[in-house]
Amino acid sequence: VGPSRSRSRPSYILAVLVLAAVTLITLDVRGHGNATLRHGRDHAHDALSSVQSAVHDGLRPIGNFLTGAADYGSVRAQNTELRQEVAASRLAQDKAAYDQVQADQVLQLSHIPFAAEYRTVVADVTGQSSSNFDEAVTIGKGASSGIAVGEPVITSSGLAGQISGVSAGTATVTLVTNPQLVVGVGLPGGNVGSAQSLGPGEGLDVTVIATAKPPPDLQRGAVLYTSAVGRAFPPGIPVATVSSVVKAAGVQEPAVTASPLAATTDLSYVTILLWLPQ
Amino acid sequence: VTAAGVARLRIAVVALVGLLVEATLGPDLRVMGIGPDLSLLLAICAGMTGGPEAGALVGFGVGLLADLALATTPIGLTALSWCLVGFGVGLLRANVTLDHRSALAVVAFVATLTGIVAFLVIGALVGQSQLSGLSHGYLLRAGLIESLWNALLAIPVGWVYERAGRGSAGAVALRRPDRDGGW
Repeated sequence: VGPSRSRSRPSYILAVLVLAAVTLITLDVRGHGNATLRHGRDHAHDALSSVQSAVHDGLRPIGNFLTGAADYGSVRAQNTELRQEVAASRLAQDKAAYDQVQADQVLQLSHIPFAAEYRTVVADVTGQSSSNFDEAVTIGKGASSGIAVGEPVITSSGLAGQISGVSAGTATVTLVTNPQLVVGVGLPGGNVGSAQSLGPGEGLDVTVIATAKPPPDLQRGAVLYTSAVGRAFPPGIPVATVSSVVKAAGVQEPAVTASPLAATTDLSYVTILLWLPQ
Repeated sequence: VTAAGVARLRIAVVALVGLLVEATLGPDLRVMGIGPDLSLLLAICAGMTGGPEAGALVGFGVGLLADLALATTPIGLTALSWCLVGFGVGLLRANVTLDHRSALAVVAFVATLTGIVAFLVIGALVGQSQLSGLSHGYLLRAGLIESLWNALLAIPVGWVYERAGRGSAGAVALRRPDRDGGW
């Protein structure tokens, strides 16, 4: 009896764990984000966001120092004092250049023409998802700054994503590169379509929903803007440029792919439009 | 406190540190947009060190913590996927002789690919459109690069995990008389 029980114990534990996981998934999916689970996740995001910021702030000078040290081969013979001086001056220069880039980004975000008619909040990106299947970032402002779920998030280039979760001091942005986000776009000739990511770096798949005849005459390089149809986003925000249009024989609507305008891989600051889906 | 209890504590610390490293430095380690998955690697190392029970328990634990850090997938999805992978790796370890240390890298590569497939399939089954909507090109790229990352990191992470897990019930059960633990 002993060896048999010992052999069946791992299977029993696996069954209990699978049952627990399935219960959690069911609660989260069917309960539309069960309040307890949602709060747990919000707290985890808040805590992780602080740790991520602290680690990045702490590592930046080391990274800059190592970069300076790596570029220093040609002056190896010089004395230690001089090396430290040069490294310190390079560090200061890097810091100034970094600060300038950050200031330029904030300045750009405060003068976005297509956001002029909306109230906006500028927020810094404090955390990035470490998963390869979870295209989302955490920003350092939340409900206390007036941010709510559903609000569009933009950069100076165009639509970056949409707020998908909010706690008091932070918010989660589902990026435009996440296939979960479907964006209604206007197309030539009174047509509309929807743009949905195929994965990070893979572009957007644009489904043409023809509401007018003839079907849209799209050209490579054309800019797609958000449409008022569906009312999930305010109209007129640039989303992507058309990268390919393929017209198959016998099919009225062309197969269209597009590249997002906002670069989501290295976001530092974003603007949130205080506009809720209608 | 028993030796097994101390080992469990050490494993918990290694898992927490691993998850913090993943959350803070993981996004900076991306190659072609794809980074390693330390939580999955910890589940694999747990299975290799402690057998199916340890693999399932650690996989579930680190997966659940990873779920809390994710934004767009349901809580429990990673826990379920990593738990199954940890259990499978543990079963393999308990029934197949894997003496060479480089076997861990091979197991990590295959198990990471399996884990990704499990995550995507279970995710699609529970209606996660962001997973079923990914292009084949991205899935291939993500699968290969993440598996290579984990295979590369398996040796150092496995070395740390093996030392943390020494004395645990699973490691003792798997220990061969001719070797002092490890694989």
